[in-house]
Amino acid sequence: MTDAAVEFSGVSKRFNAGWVLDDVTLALPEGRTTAVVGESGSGKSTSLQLMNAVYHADKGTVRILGQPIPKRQLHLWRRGIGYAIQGAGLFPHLNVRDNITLLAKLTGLDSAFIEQRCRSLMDAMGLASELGARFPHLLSGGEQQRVGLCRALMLQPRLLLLDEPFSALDPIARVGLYDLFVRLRDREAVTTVLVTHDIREALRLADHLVILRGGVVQQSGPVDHVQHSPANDYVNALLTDQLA
Amino acid sequence: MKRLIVAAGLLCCMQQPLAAERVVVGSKDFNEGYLLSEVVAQLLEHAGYEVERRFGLGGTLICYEALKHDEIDVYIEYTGTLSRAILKLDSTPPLPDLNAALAADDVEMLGGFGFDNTYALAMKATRADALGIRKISDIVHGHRDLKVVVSHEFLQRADGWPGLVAAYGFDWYPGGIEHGLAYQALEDGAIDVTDIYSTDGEVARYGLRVLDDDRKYFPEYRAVPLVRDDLPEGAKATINALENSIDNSQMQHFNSQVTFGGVSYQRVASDILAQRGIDSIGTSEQGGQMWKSLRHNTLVHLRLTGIALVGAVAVGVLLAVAVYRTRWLSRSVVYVAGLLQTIPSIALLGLMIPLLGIGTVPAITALFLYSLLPVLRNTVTALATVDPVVTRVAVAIGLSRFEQLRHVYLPLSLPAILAGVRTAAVISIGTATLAAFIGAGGLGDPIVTGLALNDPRLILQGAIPAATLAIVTELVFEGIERLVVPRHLLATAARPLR
Repeated sequence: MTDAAVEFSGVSKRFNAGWVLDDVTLALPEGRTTAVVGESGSGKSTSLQLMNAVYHADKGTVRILGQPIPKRQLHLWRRGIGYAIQGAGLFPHLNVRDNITLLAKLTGLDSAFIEQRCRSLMDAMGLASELGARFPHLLSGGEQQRVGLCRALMLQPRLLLLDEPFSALDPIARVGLYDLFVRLRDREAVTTVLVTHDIREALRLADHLVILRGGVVQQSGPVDHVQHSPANDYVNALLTDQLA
Repeated sequence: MKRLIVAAGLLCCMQQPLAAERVVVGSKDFNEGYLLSEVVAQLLEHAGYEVERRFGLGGTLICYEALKHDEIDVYIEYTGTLSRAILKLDSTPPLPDLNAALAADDVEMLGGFGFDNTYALAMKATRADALGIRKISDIVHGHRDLKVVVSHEFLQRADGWPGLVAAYGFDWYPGGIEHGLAYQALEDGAIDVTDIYSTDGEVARYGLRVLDDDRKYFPEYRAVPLVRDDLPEGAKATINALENSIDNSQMQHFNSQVTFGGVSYQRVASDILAQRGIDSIGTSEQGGQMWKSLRHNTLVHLRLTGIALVGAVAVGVLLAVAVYRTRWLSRSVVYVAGLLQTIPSIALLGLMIPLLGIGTVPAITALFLYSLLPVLRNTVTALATVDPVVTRVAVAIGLSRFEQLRHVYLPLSLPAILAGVRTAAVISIGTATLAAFIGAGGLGDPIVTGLALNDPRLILQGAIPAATLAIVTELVFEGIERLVVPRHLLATAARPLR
């Protein structure tokens, strides 16, 4: 078995309304892209936030890149994990360049390196350098999302968490962004976990699938395997209905 | 040797003013209060004392509390007020009994000036004649439609309206008015009946009929100097020289000179003393001093509001940062700050005398408390309503708690915080005019004095600069906002959605 980038063992998480994840055990392969697929309420977004310890498991253990989640200096640990979200969540008071580089500056990286890395990421994402001085509200949704991805990758993370970053975009912008993203991901060789409700997107971007429903894992495995041998009717229906 | 003696003599002379004992003279905020306190002040100066004047203190409570807490050494009170409003007695006891009661507060009453400035109800004589009203009970029987409007203090005091209700059976609630404005209101016909003081200079001037107190309700209000009992005996003796030296009609005349004769109260005070063979060094007349005092008052005003504002911003923002994450806590804090805001400013100033005395410190404290709410509420609301997507990202990408505040929450809340500071500044500048009531000076000084002396020019000398200051403050803060806040964050609401 290859090393697991993300390992859940018997993980449960409850909020006031009830269990959102119920006894989830997972091992997501390093160096690959895993798509966590499910409807809203399936617990997919919660599982992602357990991976960067925004939430903590009520039961079970989470190991990231072979290590348990540290008790102290969580924020420094999180800097090793990239994060992008639906709607991008850019800081509205900072221009594009500052949005991308804020964390690098706070980390105390060399400014020449920051400058060079920021330019390289923007190039890769097809963002013209004059956009660097613009404020986020002047960008299109697709551009904002590209900036969000640059920000997530700025510190060269080993793990990248994506919470439906492509969902709110129009189809044309989305497809364009898929290509840009795949190229950059492969260049950076970053292990990626993508949360999505869109099985097409999952099949297009991921080599590994986790199907979640009501907080319970329905099936987990390589894309080919899941496609050829759906574990149950739900997985089968998900694949056939959405792809029909 | 001779030279040495001269030098020693000079030294003595030079030392005398330094060694002179200092007496703080307070006054109530109406014309007779200013005038009599000025008479006492000049008399003490004549006798070699160094005098500090703290005139225009806002009402009986503030004056008496200031005296009790050794913030002032002397002011002029009235026996009726003393026994009823201060000592809460039902009647005025003999003088020795009064003094015994005052001793508990380390206060002593000196010999009265000789006149009785009692409360009375008055109306225009022409109107009274037309309606056939001569005495107070005439109003209650048959003239219930008259507009009875009385001064705020009269309305509240046991020996004022509430007692009048008991004695005469008034069964309606009158309006309240600033005493200094009541005469003009009578003249204009805006009101029909008001409370007056029987030595007011306005009685003859406005052709008023003092209504007969046919049930002998109003007690005696003999004017007496109240002093700290530890005031040097020499100073007490000096003040006592005025005992029984002014009668009612003389006092009416003096008051009317100040109110209508265009003579300054300082000048009338030195005239009163001159008539009694005392050649006082009256405070020089104001001429040409207007700009100087305007500058001084404005600076004091800015200092009061500036210090209060800086304190309120520091405490308000820090407090908001401390509580905004906990909903019930931030709600309670904002609620308490809101409660403070509802305490009338003059009451808040009065309540603080036992704790902080009078003058600058309580004034700044009160302004600080008033400024706290807008800053605190705006900051809490702004911090708590930062876009949740942005705050989730701030945590997830690895900003520490402090970095989240410093780089996300506070910059995004800046427009709202600045708006709160701006509101606080404008409120402070307005409220600070009331600081004069507790002797803190500022642009309220000419306003309070002008109200007391019925001098509109003086009122405007405070009101116009205060209003100007408020407008300038608005503009300055607008400029600051433009400088420090990115434009698209300022006008979020006005911007069309993409």
